[in-house]
Amino acid sequence: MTLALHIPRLETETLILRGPQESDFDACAAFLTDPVRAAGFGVERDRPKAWRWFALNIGHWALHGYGYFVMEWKETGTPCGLTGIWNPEGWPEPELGWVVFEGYEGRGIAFEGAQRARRWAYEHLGFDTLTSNIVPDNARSIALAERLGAVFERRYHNVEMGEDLLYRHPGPAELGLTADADGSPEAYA
Amino acid sequence: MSPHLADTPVLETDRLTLRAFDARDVEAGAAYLMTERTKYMGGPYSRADAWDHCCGLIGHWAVRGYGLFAICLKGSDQAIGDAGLLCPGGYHEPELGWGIWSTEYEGQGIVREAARAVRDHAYRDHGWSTLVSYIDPDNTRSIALAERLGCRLDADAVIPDLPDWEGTLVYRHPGPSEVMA
Repeated sequence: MTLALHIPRLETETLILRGPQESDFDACAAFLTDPVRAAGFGVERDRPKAWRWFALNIGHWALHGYGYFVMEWKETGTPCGLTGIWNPEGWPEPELGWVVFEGYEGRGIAFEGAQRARRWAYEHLGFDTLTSNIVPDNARSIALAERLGAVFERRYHNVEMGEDLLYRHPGPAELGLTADADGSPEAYA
Repeated sequence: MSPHLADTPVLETDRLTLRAFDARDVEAGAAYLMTERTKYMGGPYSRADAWDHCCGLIGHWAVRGYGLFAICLKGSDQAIGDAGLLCPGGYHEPELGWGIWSTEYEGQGIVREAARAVRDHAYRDHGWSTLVSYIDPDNTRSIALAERLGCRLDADAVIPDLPDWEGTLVYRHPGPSEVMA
């Protein structure tokens, strides 16, 4: 029996975006259990809870055909952050998310990775819009969303995060992108 | 390299087909997790948490290479329960876990049949030498099943490092030499 799980490998100038692998777990757990760094993403209480998020992300890929990529710093091959499309039960709509692991700030990783993931969602998943959900005091993420061309749309209550800001990204047409031949949601259903 | 989710085993018994819990089971699995039936395993879950838990079960297969099976009656693809091998974060050894998703399928020995098949699979295909089942002391039905499966309380076993697990009973299954033909 075969369960399909197709996670592409995408490249940017300095990054590789790829599916999670077991060796990423320590870096992911360190991030997820860091109450400061993961505050805007969802802090996990301990490593066992972080393990559940790690497995959940893989299942999210299996269910939706998208999820969080691990961003790998090309030069060293080390995991340096997460970016991708997130849409668990209760989410208002699919979201473009990004986080950068400790020690990798200030290199433009989130911008470069999120831009690549967004392009993939528009070109290959056939999405015609994307949002980002940002907690109100996360000024860095708000600045990055705006740099990506996203605009504030509304405040709402997020099932995990509580009060949340919803930013809307420019659509594929505004970014000069078109879907591939197989870039319809049906192709990934 | 991406997580590998291919080639998951399918187990057949007289009445049942056991296949990996996957995306097609998430709706029914989440509905089960939202009922009182899961009160001995952290439930009832909210809809969002139930969905997360189900996705985690799929990911478990990819991370560990083994996981939870959906129990289907032969000839049907509709899951009516689950049984499988679980070792999420915090566990010190894999567990044989099980659940039947509605009263309709209780009392027919379905979980026992499934659990036996999974245990045989663990010993035969994974080469494991032992298995535990973690059971809430108030879960009399599961305790009765564990005993029918030949399990004995293991007071020396180390309980998973998880909150609210104090008092959980550890039933140790008979080893391969006792149950394998």
